[in-house]
Amino acid sequence: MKKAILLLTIFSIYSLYSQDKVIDWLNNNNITIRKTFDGSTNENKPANINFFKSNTNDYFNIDIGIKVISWEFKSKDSNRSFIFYPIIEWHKSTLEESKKDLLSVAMNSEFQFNKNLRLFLQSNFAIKRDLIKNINELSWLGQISYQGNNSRESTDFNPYLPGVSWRYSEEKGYEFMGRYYPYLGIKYREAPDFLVTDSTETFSIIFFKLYLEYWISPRTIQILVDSRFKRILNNTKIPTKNIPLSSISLNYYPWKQDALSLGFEYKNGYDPDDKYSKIELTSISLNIKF
Amino acid sequence: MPSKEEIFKNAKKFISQSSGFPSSALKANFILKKHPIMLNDSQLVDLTLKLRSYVKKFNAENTVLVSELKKSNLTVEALCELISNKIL
Repeated sequence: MKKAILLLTIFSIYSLYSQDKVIDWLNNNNITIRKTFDGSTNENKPANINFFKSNTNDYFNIDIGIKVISWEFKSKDSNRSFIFYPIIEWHKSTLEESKKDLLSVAMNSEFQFNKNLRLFLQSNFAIKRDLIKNINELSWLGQISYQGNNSRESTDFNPYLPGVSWRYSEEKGYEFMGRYYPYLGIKYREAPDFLVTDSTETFSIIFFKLYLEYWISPRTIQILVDSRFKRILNNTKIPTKNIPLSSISLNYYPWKQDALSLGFEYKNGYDPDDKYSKIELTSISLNIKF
Repeated sequence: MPSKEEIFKNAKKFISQSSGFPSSALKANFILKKHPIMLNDSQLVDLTLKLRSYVKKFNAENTVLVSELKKSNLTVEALCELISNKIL
């Protein structure tokens, strides 16, 4: 494990020095890397490799999603935009109680209006391969949110609306302060071996979630809040129908750069990636963003 | 047909309308997706559609793609040049 930490440190330092070259190469090849592209607010987070140390055991997590190409319909329409793109993701954890090794392929689509109704819709259709159990899970997610008008001169400008960027004063260079988005959506899952071996749970979930980003110190200290409330619509073997999950994280970006950050996260609720079991987790992480 | 200066001025106005960052304080080397502008994906689509409408007024055959604006290192100046090249 010491070897892994050493390699990770070397990679992190190298990534800072070679960032421009890496970004240029990714840009030229239309490649985007994130924690995930599953339609969740984790899409805004960088891919990460976390190492956890506790009294009982040490383990690591890998969460990485890659987007390599996107297609755009109605590319001459000035009122709406429709894009879709394939993605590949890998999520691995070596934690003894909830080991996972998931490889998924998905097709995402995004639709956005730009007139009076400033809504945007997102969809994610995914097939997830569990490399430990050798089984496939199928899921579809659709969600809707609202993009407020950011034009300060406009008559319908309202700083309290979702998607409006808050800014610091002129003295602080109008630096970005924060914004929030609420989402309403539905998810359908066909999950084999979810609770009982050789049995597939098929269910739909409606959800509401709130995402908030706030910089308490411009470019340096960021707070992220991700709070979701889900409700299972069908009768299933899952013990609870109401599934809340909230997380709050504090990220420190040294030297006012945005490629590397140190993060602290507290998470409480029911984990969708671990059979909706109750979790309360505190973690620190090193995040690298391209 | 607008001059290159007018196109640059209008492109900056649209960046300001989508980001809430004053156009008078925009600098050529600012990157759209990074501090201090910090446009996210939804705001970049909003900006694309504004620019698309603007380009269409002068050159109906040309358009602006979301993928062109979502490039990580796209600066204010590079965007103004892009729009200028699509119109002139």
